[in-house]
Amino acid sequence: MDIHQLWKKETDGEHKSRENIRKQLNAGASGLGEAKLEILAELLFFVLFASVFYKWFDGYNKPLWLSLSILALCIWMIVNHVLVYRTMSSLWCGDNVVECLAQLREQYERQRNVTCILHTALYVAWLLLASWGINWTQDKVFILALFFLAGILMIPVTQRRWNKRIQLVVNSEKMLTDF
Amino acid sequence: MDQLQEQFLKHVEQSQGVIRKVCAAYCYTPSDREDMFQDILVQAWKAFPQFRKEAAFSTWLYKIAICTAITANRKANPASTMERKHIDFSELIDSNQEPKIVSRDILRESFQRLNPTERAMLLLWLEGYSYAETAELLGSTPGAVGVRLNRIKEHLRKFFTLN
Repeated sequence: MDIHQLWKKETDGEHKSRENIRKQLNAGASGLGEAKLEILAELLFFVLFASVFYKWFDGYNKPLWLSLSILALCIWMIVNHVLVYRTMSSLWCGDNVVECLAQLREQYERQRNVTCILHTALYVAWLLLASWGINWTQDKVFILALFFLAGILMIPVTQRRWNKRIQLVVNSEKMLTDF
Repeated sequence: MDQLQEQFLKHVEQSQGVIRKVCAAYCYTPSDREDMFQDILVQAWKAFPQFRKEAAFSTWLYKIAICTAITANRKANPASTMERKHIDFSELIDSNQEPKIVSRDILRESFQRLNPTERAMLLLWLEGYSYAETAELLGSTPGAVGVRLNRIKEHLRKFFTLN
């Protein structure tokens, strides 16, 4: 069989009704599981932190403005992840595929820089506020050291994930323009 | 908004073959194809306000679908390598200029062996797009598309002969 005929046979599928397409459209994008998971993990982390804040981080010793600031920082981090999720799920299209990819790359690069800077700044601020006015014990030092290590490790991991996404777009751009 | 969505759904219903073809070029298993169909649908809907009526909807949809597929970053399906062992490549006969194959599995396999941009070029060639049309859609030049497509065809011929 000729490759064209075979291709036609391969792509002849069941015709979807308009109602079916509408249902699929309303269900949303399926390929964003990783980003959803990231947001969920961060939410879980902050819920866990909020549940131990009062006892482990001497929440009762801190002024109200400080506790509210910590809460605001947590919310800010989550909002940033939601913004990232929105960026990833929308394609800003140009006149052709190369332009689409170039715009996507710029968007990703901007998002990577914002995410990494914001993540570092918020994390440092959060750590300072969390350790403010604390009655230091060995356990508290240990717990804070763990949070510190986890946060330090998260920054290069986040950066690497973004670089991977950007590299994929850069490679595709190169393949289309370099011969 | 509802009117715009109705307009979009009407267009997609008529041109759904475009999405199906891109899914076939980029995904191996039916479930992956279905997931990608959904992703392309969502991206196309988000980009629909940018659609200018002077271009054909199907061409515009190809652009969105290819871009979505290229950047999807899906993990390679292990089924692709597992099933490869069970394909009887002896069915394959090619002695002409155009690559000739006799099995859908081999066709799928040959797509999987190309990089994402090569898949886009092969897909558009199979759909009868000229070099100039392909170049315009992808943002390349007709000469460059011609060179790359000849390389792809050569690659396919070698692949079919070896197997």
